[in-house]
Amino acid sequence: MSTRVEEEYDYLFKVVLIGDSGVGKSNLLSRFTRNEFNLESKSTIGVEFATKSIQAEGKTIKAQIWDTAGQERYRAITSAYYRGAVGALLVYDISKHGTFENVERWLKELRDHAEANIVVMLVGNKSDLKNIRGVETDEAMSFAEQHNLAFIETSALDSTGVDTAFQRILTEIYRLMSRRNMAAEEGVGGVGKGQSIELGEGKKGGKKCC
Amino acid sequence: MSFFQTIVRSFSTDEGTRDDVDSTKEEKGDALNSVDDRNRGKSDIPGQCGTPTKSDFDKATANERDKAAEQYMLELKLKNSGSKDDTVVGGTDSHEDSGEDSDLEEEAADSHETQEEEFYLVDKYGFIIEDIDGATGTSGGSRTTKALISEKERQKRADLESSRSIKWVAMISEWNKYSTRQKHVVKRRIRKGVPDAVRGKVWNLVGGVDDMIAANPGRYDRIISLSETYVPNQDIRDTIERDINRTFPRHRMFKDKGEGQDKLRRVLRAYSLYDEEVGYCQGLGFITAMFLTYMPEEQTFWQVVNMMTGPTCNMRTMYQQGMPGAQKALYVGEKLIKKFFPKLTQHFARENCHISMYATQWFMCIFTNSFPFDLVTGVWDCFLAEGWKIVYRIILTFLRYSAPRLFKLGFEGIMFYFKRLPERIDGHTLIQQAFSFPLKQRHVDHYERKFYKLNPDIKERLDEEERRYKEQGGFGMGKGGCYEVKGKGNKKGKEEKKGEGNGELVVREDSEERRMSVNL
Repeated sequence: MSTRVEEEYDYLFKVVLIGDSGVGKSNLLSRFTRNEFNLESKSTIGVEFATKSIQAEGKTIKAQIWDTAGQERYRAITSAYYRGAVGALLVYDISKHGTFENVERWLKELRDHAEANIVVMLVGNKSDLKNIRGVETDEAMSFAEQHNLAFIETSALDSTGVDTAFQRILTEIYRLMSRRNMAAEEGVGGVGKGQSIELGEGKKGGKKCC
Repeated sequence: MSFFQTIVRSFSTDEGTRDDVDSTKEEKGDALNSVDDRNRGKSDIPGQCGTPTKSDFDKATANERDKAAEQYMLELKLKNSGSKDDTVVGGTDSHEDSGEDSDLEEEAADSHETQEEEFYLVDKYGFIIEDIDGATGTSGGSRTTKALISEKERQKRADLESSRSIKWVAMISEWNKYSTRQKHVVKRRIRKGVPDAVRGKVWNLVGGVDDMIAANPGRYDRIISLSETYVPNQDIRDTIERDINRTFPRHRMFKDKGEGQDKLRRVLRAYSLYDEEVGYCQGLGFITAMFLTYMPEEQTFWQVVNMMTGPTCNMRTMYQQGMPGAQKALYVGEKLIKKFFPKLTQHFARENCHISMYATQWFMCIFTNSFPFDLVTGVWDCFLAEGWKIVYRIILTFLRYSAPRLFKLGFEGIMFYFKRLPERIDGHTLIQQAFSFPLKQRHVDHYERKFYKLNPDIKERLDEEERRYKEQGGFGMGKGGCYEVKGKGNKKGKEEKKGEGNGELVVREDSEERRMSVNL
C-alpha cells in the first residue's frame, strides 16, 4: 500500500481535452481539478497537464488530463497525446457555431490517432452564454447520438455540468474496462485492479494496490 | 481614450506597508505610451528610427528604471471617460477609432480629467503584481524574481544596469563602428544583458529593423489599411481575435480593451497578410506583445518579420503547417539533454516523460509566455543577436539546476515541477549560468543534420522554401542592409552556410505586396 494518501487509486485513466481554440478547455480543466476559473487566462501553447481523483462505483479513479492547444496546426505535436488516452472530451463553444462545425474534424483526428475504443464525450461549453447561443442543445444532442458520443453542456464559468462531465466520462470508461475485465477473466488477458490501463507514452503506471 | 499616469511610490514588502515617498512619473509607461502614439501617426517622425539623442535618453534614464526595479510601482490609471466614450466599448470599434484618434490622444494626454480610478501594482515590466509579497506567478501576473533575491543583490543589479546604460548609449551612437569593427564588444555586452532603457532600440539595431522600415516606407500602414477589407482566411482572423485578450492578460498594456490590444491585433493581422502561408500561429502573439512593450507598432511589425523570416531566429518554420521547426527543436533539445544528462534522460524515459510535454511552449514562445521577464528579455537579447543556441543553453541550464530534484520525482511530480519552474528561477543568474554551459554550435548543428537525415521530407520542404525565398528576392536593401547592421560577429559565416549568401537579408517578397498594389 502506498504511504501517501494522494497516490492511492484503483485506476488511472488518461483523458485528453480537445477542440477549437478559445472554447474553454483550459478553464474546464482548472474548474474540475482546482475549482478555479480565470477570466484572464492565457492561450494554451502545446500541452498542459493536471490530475484529479474521483470516486466511481466504490473505486478511486485518478484522471490524468492533458489539455491541448486548440489551433489546428498544433495537432502536429498534440496528436501524439491522443495515443494511450482512454477518454476524450471534445469541447465546442455553444455561442460559436463554427466551433461545433469543426467537431467532425476533431473526430477524424481521434479516429486517425487515438485508440479505437476511446470514450468520447461531446461537451458544449459556455452554457452561461444562453443569450448568444449559436448551437441548439437538440442539434448537438442528435449529432452526438448519430456519432455514438456522450453529450453534456457545461459552463466552466458558473461550474454547471463540469464535475458531471468528468464524472460521467470517467465512470463510463471504468464500466467499459470492467466489462472487458470480466470478459478477460473468462478468456485471456485484461486489465487488473490497480493497474494502469492507459497505454502508449506519457503516463507512469499507477501504484499497484493489490 | 484611456491613458496612464503613473506614480512611483516605494513600499516595504517586508512590513507589508506602503509609504508615499516620491511621486515621480514612471518613465517606462510614459515613454512607451508617448512613443507609441507618435509612431502610430503617419510615420512622420523619421527620427524615431534613428539613434536616440541624449535628451531622449534622459527621459528614461536607467537610474529611474532601476528605481522602478527596486521599488514597486503604484500605478494610477486614469480613465478619461468624458466625451470620448470608447474607453470601455468593444474591441473592433475602439480599434477603428484608436488609429484615427491617435493625434487627439496626444493632445488629450495632458489633461487629466479623472472620472474613474483603478489602482494596481505593476512590476518593472508592466505585469500586475497579484501577490503583495512579490512572488512570481505563472498565472500571467508579476514576472519579476523579486522574492528570490536579496535587497542588496537587487540594488547591485540596478547599479550595474545604470552604468551599463551609459556604455550602451555611447555604443548606440556609434553603432556602425561597433557593429562592423567591434562586434566582439557588442556580443559581450549583449550577453551581459541589454539595459531595459535601451532594449527596444538595441533589438531594432540588432534585427536591422530601422533599415527594413527605411526600405519599405509606409508599407506597414498600407498592409493595415488592406487588412480592414481583405480577409483571405477567416479562420486565421478568428484565431488572432481569440488570442488578443489571452495574451499577457495580466500586463497593464494588454489587460483591457484599448490601445495595447488594438496594436497587438493590428500587428498580428498585418503579419498574417504579409505572410499568408503562416498567417498566424498561437505563440506568435506572446512574442509580438513582448516586442510591443519595448517598441512602437511599426517597429514591432518589422521586428516580427525579422524574427520570423531572418536566418538568425528563423521562427517561421516553428509556426508553419506541420510545425517542422518545432519538431526539429524538440528533437535537437531531446538529443542535447541526452548528451549532457544521460542519467536524467534514463530517469525521464523510465517515467515516460517526453520533452514535448514540458518544452513545447518554451520553444514556441521562446519562454515569453510564462518565465520571469528578466530571463525572457535576456534570452531575447541574445536570441535576436546570435540565434538558437541560447535557447538550448537555457533548457540545459534549467535541467542542470533541477536535476537533483527531478531524480526524486515520478512522472506527475516532474510535470508539476516544470509547471512551477518559472516561479523558482532567478532569471538573471540563470542566464549567466547558461552562457557558461559547455554547449557548442557544432553540437546543435550535428543534431540538426541528424534530424534532417531522419526526416528527409521536412528537409526537402524547407530547402524548397529557401529556394523560393531567394528566387522571389528580398527587400532590396542590398549589402550593408539588414544583416550587415546586425553586427553579430559570427553571423555571416552561418548565413552563407545556410545558403543565404552575401550576408544579405533574403526574405520572400510576399504576394501581398503585389495584391496590394492592385487593391490600393
